[in-house]
Amino acid sequence: MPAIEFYHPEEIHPSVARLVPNERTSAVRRSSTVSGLRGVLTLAGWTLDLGRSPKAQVSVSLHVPSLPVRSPEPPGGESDKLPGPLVCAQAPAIVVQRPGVPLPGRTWAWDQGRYKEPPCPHFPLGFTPGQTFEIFKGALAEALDMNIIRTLGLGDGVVQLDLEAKFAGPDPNGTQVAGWVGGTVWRGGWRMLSGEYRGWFIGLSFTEGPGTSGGLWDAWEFGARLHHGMEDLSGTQEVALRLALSGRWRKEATPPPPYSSIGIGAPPDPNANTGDWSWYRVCACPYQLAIWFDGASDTPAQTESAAPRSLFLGMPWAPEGFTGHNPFVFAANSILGVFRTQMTWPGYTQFDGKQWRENVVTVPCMRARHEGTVNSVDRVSNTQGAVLVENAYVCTEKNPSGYIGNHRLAGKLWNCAVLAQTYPCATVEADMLGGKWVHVSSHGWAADYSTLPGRGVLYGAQAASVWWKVESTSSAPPE
Amino acid sequence: MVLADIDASTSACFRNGFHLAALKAGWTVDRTVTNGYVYVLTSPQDALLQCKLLVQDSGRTIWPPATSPVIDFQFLTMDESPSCASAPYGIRWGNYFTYGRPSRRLRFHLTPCQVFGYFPGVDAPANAVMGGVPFIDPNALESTAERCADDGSEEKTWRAVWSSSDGNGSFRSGYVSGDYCVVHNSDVIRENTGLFNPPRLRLIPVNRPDGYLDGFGTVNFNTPVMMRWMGSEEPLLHDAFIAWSSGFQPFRIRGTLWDAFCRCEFVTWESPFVLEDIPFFSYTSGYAAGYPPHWYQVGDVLTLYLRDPGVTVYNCDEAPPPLPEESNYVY
Repeated sequence: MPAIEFYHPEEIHPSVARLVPNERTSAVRRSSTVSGLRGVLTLAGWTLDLGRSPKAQVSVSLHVPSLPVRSPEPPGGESDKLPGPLVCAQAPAIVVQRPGVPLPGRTWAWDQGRYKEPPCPHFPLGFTPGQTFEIFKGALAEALDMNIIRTLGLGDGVVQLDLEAKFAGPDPNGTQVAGWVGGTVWRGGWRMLSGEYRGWFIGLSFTEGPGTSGGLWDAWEFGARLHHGMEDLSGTQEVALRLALSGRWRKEATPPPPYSSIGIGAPPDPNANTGDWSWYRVCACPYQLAIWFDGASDTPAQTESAAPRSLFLGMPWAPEGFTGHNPFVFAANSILGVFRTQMTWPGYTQFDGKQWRENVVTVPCMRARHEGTVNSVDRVSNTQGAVLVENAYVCTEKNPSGYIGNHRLAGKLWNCAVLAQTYPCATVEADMLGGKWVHVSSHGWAADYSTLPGRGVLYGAQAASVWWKVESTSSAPPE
Repeated sequence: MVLADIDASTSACFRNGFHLAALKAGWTVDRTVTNGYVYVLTSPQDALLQCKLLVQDSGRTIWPPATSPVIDFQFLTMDESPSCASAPYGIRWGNYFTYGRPSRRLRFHLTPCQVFGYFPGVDAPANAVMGGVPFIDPNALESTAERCADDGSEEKTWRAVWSSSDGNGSFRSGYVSGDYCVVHNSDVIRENTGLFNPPRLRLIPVNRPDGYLDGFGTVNFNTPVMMRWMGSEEPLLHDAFIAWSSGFQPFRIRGTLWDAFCRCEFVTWESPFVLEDIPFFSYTSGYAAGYPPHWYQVGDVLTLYLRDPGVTVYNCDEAPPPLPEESNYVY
C-alpha cells in the first residue's frame, strides 16, 4: 500500500503570510494596500508584469457648448483689464485632490480679454467653446499628470474624456478631480505572474475600485487569467472579480456598478492583531494566494457573510502524469458563499485556459458520516483525542452541473492541510508539525451549536478546517 | 494469510476446514470445547495485542427465513470476560442455503489476527462474520518504548478488539456495522441496532464535510457517488481506518485493518484488483439486491478490499488434525 505522503517534493515552496493594511483614507497616506499585496506576492515568488500592470483611469464629461469663451479686448487694452488676482478668487476650473496631500491643486480659467494674467495656475479661454475645450483638455491632463486616451461625444454637446495615468500602479488611485468636471481616479494597480506550473501561469491584476459616493474606495478588483507562456495571451479568458462590502462577485468584462462604501478605520497599528477591520491577512506561494480580513470575528457585524471580503486563488498541485486537466485555476470568493466558514467554496474555475465558469470547489475530509450528536458536529479523532491531519485535496467538476454532483479530485492545495477540528475566525495561526500554520477556513464552527438551527448541526456536519503552512507570520507589512 | 474455501455442508466439515485454515494462518489453540475450539489470535505488531475466538457448534439454530443450524463465532478478550464478549455470531452450515450452488461453501480470509468470513456473491444474514485486532498506531501503543510523536496523552492502547456479524449491515454491504462488539482497553460497546439508528462501528470514508445527508451527489438517489480522480476516473484509494465512538463524539480511529484498503468504487463482490502488483479482492458490495440505500450510506461508496493470497480449498476429505490428549471433539 503506497504511503500517503504529506508533502510532495514539488510542494516545498516557501509560503508567506503577511498583513497588509486596509488603508484608504483621506488622512496621511502610508503604504498602499495594493502595493502591500504586491510586496507579499513578490516575497512569495510571483513576478511583476509591469508592462501589463493596470494604469489608473478616470472618466469625466462636460457640456462643451456651455464652456466660457474669451471676452473681447477692452478699448483701453491691457490697462483696462481687471487685476489678475481676481481670477484666483474665482472658483477654479480644475481641482485635483490627491490622497495624503493636505491641499488640493487648483487651476483657474483665465479670461484674457477681461483680466490681466493671474498669479495662480491658469489656462486661457478660447474664442469659442470648442477652443476652450481643447485648451481645457491639455490643462486637465497636465493637472492630473495623465494622458487623455479617448474623447467620446455623447450627444447634445456632452463630451466624455477618458484619462489614464502615465505609469502603472496604484499611486494615483483616489485622486479626486473637481471644478468644471468631476470624478475620481481608480483602477491603478499591479499585474503579477505566478510561478510556472505545468507550463502555465496565472496572471493576476489587482486594483482598487470606486465607491458610490464621495469617491471613496470600496472594492478591490481582481482580474485573473490562466495563460500559457509569457507572451501568449491569445484565447485566454479573464475573470474580473470585485471584493466589496455588500456587493457580489461576478464574472464580467467591464467594471460593475458601484456598491455601497465601507467604513474605513483609522490607520492600523502594525503591531496589533486584534481582528480590527484595518488589516487583511495574505498567504501566498508561487501558485496560490489567499486574502481575507485578518481575525474577522464571528459576530454578525463582522462575519464573512456580513462583510465578505476574501479571495482564494490557486492553481492546485496534481500528480505527475495527471491527465484530468492541464492545469486548472480556481478563484473562491466570499460573496456567493463564504469560504472562511466552510469547505465548500463557491467561485469560478477555469480549465486548460478555456472559459471561466461559475463553479464550486470542495476540500474533502475524513468523515464519520454519523447523523450527529444533537447540538454538536461529527468529529474524527484517534484513541488519544488528537487532532488528525490529512492532505487538503480539491474536488470540483469541469462542467458544473448546478449542484454538488459527482465531484472529482482535481488536485491538492499547495502547502495546506486539513485538520479534523474547527476553529473560530479569530484563531489566526498555530505551531504544529514543526512549522507555523495559518488558519484559512473552518467548516461550520460555532461557539454554541445549541443556538444554531438547521441541518448542519443536527445531521452530522463534519468538523474540519484548512490550514496553510507558512515561513513566518510577521505582522509587519512589507516595504 | 489464508483465503480458505471451506465445505460447510456439514458441521464437521465446516469446523474441520476452518480449523486447518486457522492453524495455517498462525492462530493457536487455547483449548478445545465441545464441537469446537477457542483460538488465540495474536497481532504481528505486538504479541500483547491478542484476542480469542470461540468457534463452536453448540447445536443452535436460527430462523428466519428457515430454520437452519449454525456454527457460532464469538470474539473474546484474553481474560474471556463476559462483559467484553461479543454475541455469538451464527454462520449457517448445511445445504439449506446454497444460493443456487451445488453445495454450501464458505470463504474465510484469515490473517494472524483478523478474519473476514463470507459466502461468495451473497450478502444475507448468517453468511458473514468479521473481526480481530487492528493495527494500532505505534505512538498510541502502551508498549511502544520510544514514541516519535510529541504526545503527552496518558491514553495508551493495551487492548483493542472489534467484531461484527452481518445481521444489521456490515462491511460486507457498506462501511457501517449494526451488530457488533468493540473493545478498546476497558471501554466496551456491544450493539445490535436497527438500520436507521446510527451505528458506531464503521470505516472512515472521504467526502465533503457537510451534513450526513449532503454528501457529494444527490442523497437518496440510486446513483452511487464516488470519489474519483478527474480525467482518469480512477477511484480514490485510501487506508481502511476502523473507528467507533464511545457513545458520543468523536469517532475515534482505533487502527487500520490488516492487508486491506478502501476504494471508492461500486463493484460486485470478490471483484479482483491489482495494486502495485499485489492482488486484492473486494469484500464489500455497496448495494445488495433488495437492500435499500441508507441515508448514511448513499453518499459514499466504499468498497473494502482484502489482499488475495490465492484460494486454499478445504474439502471434507481433508485429514483431520491430530486430537489433543484430552479431546472431547465430536465429529
